[in-house]
Amino acid sequence: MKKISIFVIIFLITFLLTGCWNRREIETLGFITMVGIDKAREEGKIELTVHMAKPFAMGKEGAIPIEKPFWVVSSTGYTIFDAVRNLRAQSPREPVWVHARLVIFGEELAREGIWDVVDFLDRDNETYWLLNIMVAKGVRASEMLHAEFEIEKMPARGIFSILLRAESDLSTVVSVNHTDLLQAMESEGLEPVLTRGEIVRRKGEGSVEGELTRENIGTSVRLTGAAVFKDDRLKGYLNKLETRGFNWIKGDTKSGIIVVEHPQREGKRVALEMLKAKGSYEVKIVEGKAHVDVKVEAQGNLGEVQEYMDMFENPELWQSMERRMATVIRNEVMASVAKAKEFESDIFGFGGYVARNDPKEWEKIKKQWDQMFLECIVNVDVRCELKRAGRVLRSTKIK
Amino acid sequence: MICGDKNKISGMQMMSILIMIRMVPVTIMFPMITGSKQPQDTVIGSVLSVLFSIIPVMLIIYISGKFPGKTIVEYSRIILGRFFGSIVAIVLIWYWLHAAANSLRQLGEAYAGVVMPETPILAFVIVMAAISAYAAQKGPVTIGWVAELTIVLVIMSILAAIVLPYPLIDFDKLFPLMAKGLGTVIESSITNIGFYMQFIILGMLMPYLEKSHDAAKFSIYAFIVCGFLMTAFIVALLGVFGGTADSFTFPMYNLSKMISIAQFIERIEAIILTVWVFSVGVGVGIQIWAAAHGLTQIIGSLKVKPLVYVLGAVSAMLSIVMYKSVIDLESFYEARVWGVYSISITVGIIGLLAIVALFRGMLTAGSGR
Repeated sequence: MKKISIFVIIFLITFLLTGCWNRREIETLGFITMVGIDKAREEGKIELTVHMAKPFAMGKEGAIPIEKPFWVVSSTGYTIFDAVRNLRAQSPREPVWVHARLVIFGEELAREGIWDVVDFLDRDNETYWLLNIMVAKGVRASEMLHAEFEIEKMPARGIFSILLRAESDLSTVVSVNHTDLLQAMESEGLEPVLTRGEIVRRKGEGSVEGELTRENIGTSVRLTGAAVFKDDRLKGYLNKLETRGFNWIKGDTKSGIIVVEHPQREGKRVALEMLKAKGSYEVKIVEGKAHVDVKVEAQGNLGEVQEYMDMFENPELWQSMERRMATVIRNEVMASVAKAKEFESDIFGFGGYVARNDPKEWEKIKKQWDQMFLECIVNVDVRCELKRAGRVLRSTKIK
Repeated sequence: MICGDKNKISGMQMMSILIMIRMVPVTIMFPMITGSKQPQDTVIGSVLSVLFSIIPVMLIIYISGKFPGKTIVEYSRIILGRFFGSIVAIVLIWYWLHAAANSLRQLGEAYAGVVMPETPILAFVIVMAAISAYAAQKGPVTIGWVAELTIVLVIMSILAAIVLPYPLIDFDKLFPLMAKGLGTVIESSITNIGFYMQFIILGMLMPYLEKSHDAAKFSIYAFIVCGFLMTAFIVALLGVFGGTADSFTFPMYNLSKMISIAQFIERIEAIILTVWVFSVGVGVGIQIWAAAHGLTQIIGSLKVKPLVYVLGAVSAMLSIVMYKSVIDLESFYEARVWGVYSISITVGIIGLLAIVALFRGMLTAGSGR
């Protein structure tokens, strides 16, 4: 038994020793945390902009930062790999991708097609497989990489945290990793969507005293919906509510605030907090036309009432708010469908549903699917239930 | 099993060896799904291939049972005669050496491909071949022990790689099934049966089995474990990657890279690297031993001890010279090449032995030698 244990240990150690060939000292590495990809100004080239972490500038938690803890650097190349390798002409440290969590495509590149730039992310061994991908609306990705956050030292971590929070608390963004993107690009009857990010310009700011002791931040980022693609080309954007409509259909809504009209006071509003929701759809082909039945079931709480409302006095109000919530959801769903039709892009995967469930029918209709999607009839069945009313059953009444 | 004959292996150890041999191409390259025209059909192919592979494997156990204490090399020479039996034995020895070389190359490609790109592939191949040859020199008992000790780790690691990406699994991606007809199911089944037929090594192991009647029982257990792990792996792989699953060079490694539990349990692909080492070590070790042992049974003057190192070196050399690139290796594993090659050798030999033995009345009760 002892001999065998020694054999097993030698077995492993001997094998791991081969790793010495690949040794890399940590002081020689430059960790990329975020990547922006644009069409370079030079014809036929791609521009790669990265955030490289500056560990020596990070300081201790709570210490006053006197220097940006990241370096923004760009390089160009005929392919991404070429541009990545060209970074070495500027970076004293070897750029490594293992900690990169976010890739941003500039709008110009996204509109011309992203097919040529996604392969590296899939093929390279260093890239993270759950890499989130975003489109910088209206700007170059490199511009977005100069954005910062007041309460987060590393912008990559800032955007990533916003993405996680917005996905779970708002449901008005989509969170897409590169594996999802590749599947959507490859699947029949499904088009890709990516996170939509926008630059927020701070008024009258940007006064940066060199790299040290800065008081203001010039630009920041917010996530505002989804970018819609057809194959690999950006066609347009969904706004926040249209994106939530998309998430209702896909069953990806997690939480969020649904604002409805006050049932008794004109111009006043009631905020309902969505607790959980289920969304699904079925697609039937009837006489050459696609009929889509979307079903949404949502549960929520009464979160806030403007002016006065008393549930005891008028229990009918409860059902009225449930109906209003259902109407808002239905409108959001229909708005997202209308926008997708406008962009001629089946981002919901209605065609994919037919391909999975009735492959023979799909073979017959797949060539006409683009047209059939534009003409598809969508019926939405929404069931809403309000559960609780918070700490009070009626709001404050002014005497 | 701690007690028992020190020169024999237990049923559990035999089962562990079989699972390890089968898991090499599952955990590293998984040719069953790579390049598949309809990856969704591999789920059906995985189940069907178990059912079809059991028959020839049970037949080899049955024939071996009729020649107690004799290996397939020995009883081939009894059934077919010295000359034809030796030819069959040499074909089998080639088959084991070739399989060992393929496993070594897979491991080399995997390590050089995903973790240590600057290390020459030869370094992995030579180290692994040397360790496996050392294990082979110690014989099936030591290999059985190593297999039994590490099988739990291997199975747990595979299960972790399958189960932990659960939040990402979308079962809709398992469809459509048989969208392109039965052809793709048959194709994936053939590749897979080709791998299951490596269980022909039972012909060499049975004389070393503590209780020969355990062979059928533990082989079926091995089929069940392998069938379950493979089918679950395919479900997880398709559930996460959908139709793109057929594009991966190292699918299980890629699947393990998708694990992210609460942003805390992440990047646990290192466990898959450990699985590669153990499964290849046991698989190559037992195949080199079988080849060496078989050769000594044909040529009586040879000795197993030096021979295992020679055959280890031959396997290492073959693994390098047979394939120019990883694409070459993947192409070899296509159903029409690997499947036909493996099935025709193994099922051909089993069938030939069964038919001739039957005609010569060697399979009737009490007819064994």
